[in-house]
Amino acid sequence: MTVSFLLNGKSVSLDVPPNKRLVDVLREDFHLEGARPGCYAGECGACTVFVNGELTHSCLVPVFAAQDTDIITYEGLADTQEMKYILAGFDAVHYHPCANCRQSRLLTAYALLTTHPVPERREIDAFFSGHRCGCSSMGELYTAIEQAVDMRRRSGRHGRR
Amino acid sequence: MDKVSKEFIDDLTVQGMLHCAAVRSRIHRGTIREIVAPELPPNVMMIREADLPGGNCISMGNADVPLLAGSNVEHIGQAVALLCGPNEPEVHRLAELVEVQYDRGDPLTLTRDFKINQKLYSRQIAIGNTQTAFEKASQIVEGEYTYRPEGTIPVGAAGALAVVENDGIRVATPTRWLFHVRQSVAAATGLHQDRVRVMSTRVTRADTNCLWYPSLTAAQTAVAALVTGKPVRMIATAREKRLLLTKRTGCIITHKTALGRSGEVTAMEIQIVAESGAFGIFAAEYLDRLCLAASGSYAAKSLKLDAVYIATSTPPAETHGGAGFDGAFFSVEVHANRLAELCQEDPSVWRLKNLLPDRGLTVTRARAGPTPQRKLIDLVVELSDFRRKYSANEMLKKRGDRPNFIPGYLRGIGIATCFHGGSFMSDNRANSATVTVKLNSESELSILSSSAMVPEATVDILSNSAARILNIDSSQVHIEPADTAAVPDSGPAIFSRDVTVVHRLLTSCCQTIQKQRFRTPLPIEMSRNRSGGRGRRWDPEIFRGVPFSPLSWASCVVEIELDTVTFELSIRGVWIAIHPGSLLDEKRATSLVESELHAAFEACGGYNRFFEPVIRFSQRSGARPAALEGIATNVFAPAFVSAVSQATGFYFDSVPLSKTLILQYLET
Repeated sequence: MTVSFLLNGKSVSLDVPPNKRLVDVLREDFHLEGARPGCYAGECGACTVFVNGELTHSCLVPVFAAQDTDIITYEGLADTQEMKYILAGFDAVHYHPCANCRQSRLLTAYALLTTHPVPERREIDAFFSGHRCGCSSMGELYTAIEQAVDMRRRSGRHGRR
Repeated sequence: MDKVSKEFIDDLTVQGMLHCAAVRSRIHRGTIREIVAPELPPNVMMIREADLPGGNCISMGNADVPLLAGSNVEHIGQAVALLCGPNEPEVHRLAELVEVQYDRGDPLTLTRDFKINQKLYSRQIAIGNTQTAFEKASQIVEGEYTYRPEGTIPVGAAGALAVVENDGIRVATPTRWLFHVRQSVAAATGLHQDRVRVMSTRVTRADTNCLWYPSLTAAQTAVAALVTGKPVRMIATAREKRLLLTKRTGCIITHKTALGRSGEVTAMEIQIVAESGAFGIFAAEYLDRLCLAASGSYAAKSLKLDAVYIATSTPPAETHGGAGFDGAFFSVEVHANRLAELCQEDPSVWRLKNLLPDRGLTVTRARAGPTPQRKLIDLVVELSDFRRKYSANEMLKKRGDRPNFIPGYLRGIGIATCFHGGSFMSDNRANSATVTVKLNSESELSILSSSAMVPEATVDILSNSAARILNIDSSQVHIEPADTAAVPDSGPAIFSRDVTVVHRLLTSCCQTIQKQRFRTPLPIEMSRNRSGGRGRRWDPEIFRGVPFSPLSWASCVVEIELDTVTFELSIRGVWIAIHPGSLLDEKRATSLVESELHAAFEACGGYNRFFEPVIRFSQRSGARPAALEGIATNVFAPAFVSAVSQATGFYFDSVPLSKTLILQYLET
């Protein structure tokens, strides 16, 4: 089956078995390795990507369902200013999630801070509820997100609620 | 294959590599009559037991684990045959099509009425005369506690890659016990251990505490590579991870306790039936840990303990959490809360009254040193306002009209306390470790240890400690990748051994180098080793002495809220106070404890893991770091279940606690 979609802003199409999981397509056919297959059950969140602007576990998406969608992976956002603030915030408080889930957490933080410029803890909880990797604590995550918000605020790009 | 330590196993590829999939048993137990394979393409090969070049087993923790099921299937998911081919999805598809015909046997399960052939190990301990104590008791309380926690699917990839070389075989796998993988591969392939080189791929803290699975998979992959003559990679599918890597040890523990007039414990009779799946991997170790912790930290003048370890038809358990301690503390601490309630006492006060006194005789007939447990209980009680909340909940429960006071919610609070040890009690080989350190003429330090890279967080702790002792920048410290050709055997990286053993040996090496470095020309190489049994005041044969030194201690309070409409359990607060000797990195220790508490909540059947625990460490200057890994698991479950019991007014005595179970209790 030929499937076409927008991938990180570029139109792509490929011939692929329709039930192949999106995470495998991204990794094997496009060599985008930010999303990792963890549990293949939508539980761990390591495979998170944006599908039509929504955070989605790509291990649960058969590639035929991605037809005509707009998919953004971590690699598509890695160079944005917003992501740089998040990375700087994470680094500043030495928040280092494991290599399995790091990029999907960064992507989720991006989604959070785009919709909630100064998020409350319950909003952080809600956004990260799909991440069940036990490599780091929520306490560390709260501090890292608050630090990213602070860095963005100091740079003058702070969006008001 | 050269820079594997920073790669995940599923990202490693080698030119001309074959993929391997296991044909797995779909039944729990039985005898194989025939394996009927579909017509296989010419480039796909099937390996059965008869094709194995070496022995059909690896040895792990006094147990023999077969590579492939021969005539008997011992657990669901056991590998029966291996399929190797160039296309990964294709070999998995073909593996599903292989039909295995069985004569089904009855599955072996965890039950008090186990079959005689299930029994693997047993231990009896008797101190004093329990019979007389029970005759004189003013109250006798009995309870049966079932601990079968739920494991979560590890996030990291699991599997192995094997490449046959002229002089032997090279294997890469994410493992916490590098040299055990080498030993297993050697046993399976029939090669000498010197001809087997094993490298660990990236292992993260989120991965399971893998011990048996990497060794078995590596051995199977190596055999496949040897038989096919090509590089072979075997990656666990999600289904295999769910089936084989989520299993945790379980137990049923019966407590019978004699209480004196003022509620003091005078005698304990404890019966334990425990299991860790098929084959009984580390069964003796788990059993000893259960026996040690089954009476908790309480002072009973007489004790009778009867423990049995049995095999069941489930996949072997990995060394999660307290590895035996968690089940033992679950039962004794839930039981202690029940005793306190029957004595109409606050559980924290009851504990303080019944804790083993300083210099008291422990279950291993050793004199207990001064313990910080009273201080820890006082600390969590104060932090959580336990006494007021407990009394208030009890008052509301007795009035029986709580929904009018707190519409839609029932609240409860529970407390638990434990000790924890960070080494193996009965496996001296697993306890031994060697660390080598090299300082070169550029003042660059190399640390060589097979378990220094696992988990990742340890790297910083070890580098910073070494840099501080030698007064060099931590960027000048390099930890060599875990590779059997380059690093010495430091034993398994579990039970906080990276901190309690590897760090200690490293510190000793660095201190000696620091003394020599301005007198002896560089480079200097220093090795330190710890022999598993030497110098220990512990005799596992007769169960006497001091099995762990130093011990760590913890007390925990959990407050929960139960929605009476949805039966959703949520955590209102968790307070935990830990005495870990001394801490090497408080931030990382806090992170570890917090993630363990969240995992423990999930293991108890909870889902919403977003609670912020209050974590306090009580350190003693100059003390050696003690084990932290697993300690939160030991105390969370009993405190949580006791809190649910107080909220609902029913004695819950099992883990996991599902919504359905709570509903069933409330409806009766």
